Amino acid sequence: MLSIEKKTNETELIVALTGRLDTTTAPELERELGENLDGVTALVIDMAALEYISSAGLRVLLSAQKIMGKQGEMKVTHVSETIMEIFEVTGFSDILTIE
Amino acid sequence: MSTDYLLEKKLLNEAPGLHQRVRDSVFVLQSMLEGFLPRFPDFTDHSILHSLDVLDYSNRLLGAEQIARLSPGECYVLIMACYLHDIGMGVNQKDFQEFSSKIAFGHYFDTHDGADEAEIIRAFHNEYSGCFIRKYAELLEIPSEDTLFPIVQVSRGHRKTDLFDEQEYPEMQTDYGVIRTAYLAAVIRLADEIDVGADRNPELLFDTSKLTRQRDIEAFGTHESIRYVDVTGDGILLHVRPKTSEYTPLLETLNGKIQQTLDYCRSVAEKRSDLRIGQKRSVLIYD
Repeated sequence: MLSIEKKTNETELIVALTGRLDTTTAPELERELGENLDGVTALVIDMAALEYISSAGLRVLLSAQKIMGKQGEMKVTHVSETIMEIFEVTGFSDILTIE
Repeated sequence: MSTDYLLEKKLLNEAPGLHQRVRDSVFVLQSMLEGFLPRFPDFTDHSILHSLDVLDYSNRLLGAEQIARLSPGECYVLIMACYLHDIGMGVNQKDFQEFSSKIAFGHYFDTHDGADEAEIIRAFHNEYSGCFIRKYAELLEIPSEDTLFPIVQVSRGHRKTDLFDEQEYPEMQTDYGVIRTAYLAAVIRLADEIDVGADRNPELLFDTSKLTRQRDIEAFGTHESIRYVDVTGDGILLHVRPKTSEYTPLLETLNGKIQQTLDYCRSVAEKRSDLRIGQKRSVLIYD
């Protein structure tokens, strides 16, 4: 299960994720981002309540980062120890901007 | 049990120095793997996202039991090959000229006299990948010839090469343990073959309404018709919902090709190593 909460602040979009970002839920996040990234110059993915991210979830994050690379910036925040371990084991801690 | 990141975790636990080299490569490869786009703007995705898929499918095909039997060197080689196997799609002009003088094209030009650069690369991209990896081994932090040779061979081996050739695909004893190159190449060949689901070409990045060539429309449409690919201990399940009825025969053909590759890779695993590929059948499941 994944719930996605969005908040906008002018051209900044904050997306807070709760639950699991995996094969079954990643398409939902991809859809939400696809519908809401126009005009966004700063994307923040708040992972405070995210329990787990699979490879499918990493792909969506990377896809979003590719888009934001052309129109602004993206960062992930409040990363738990579990999620950070995944970022480190896959090498993605060096690709993503993590705060 | 989840198969997520098993290869990566094993490498981190057993050979952290090699794992750090992978991390450094991933950082660099993220942009290098975009190189295919200018030459193949309407092609299916061959970026780092595809590499991630192939790595994930490798984890799923192998499963915990086979991964536990791999050496750290094998984990490193397979992970690197997952990231590098298609790098040849994006070689620059200078490297294209240089590598073309080294690649054995066989009788290709007898039947493809007017082939342009994109067609040549598409047909031989695994060989261009091999040349690229060898040339840029230092940039990619590959530590020695003992790991460079298997990475080159396993990357090349994702298509076309003869995995029964014992000279091309030997079993090697290295400082990082045994490296069974034929088996690793079989795994990546199969993992690459089954990256055919709808998420292969993320909706965020691909606008398929702009495609004009029938070949590209069919390729993307076939992917769109495959909702997802499931890998179990004994099978590969393609969950499909044909975009239109015209895609049904294309899906059947694709499934046939996957079954052929699976049969070949299983045979390589059995005859060339003491490791196994457990999956036996590729099946279409109409949702």
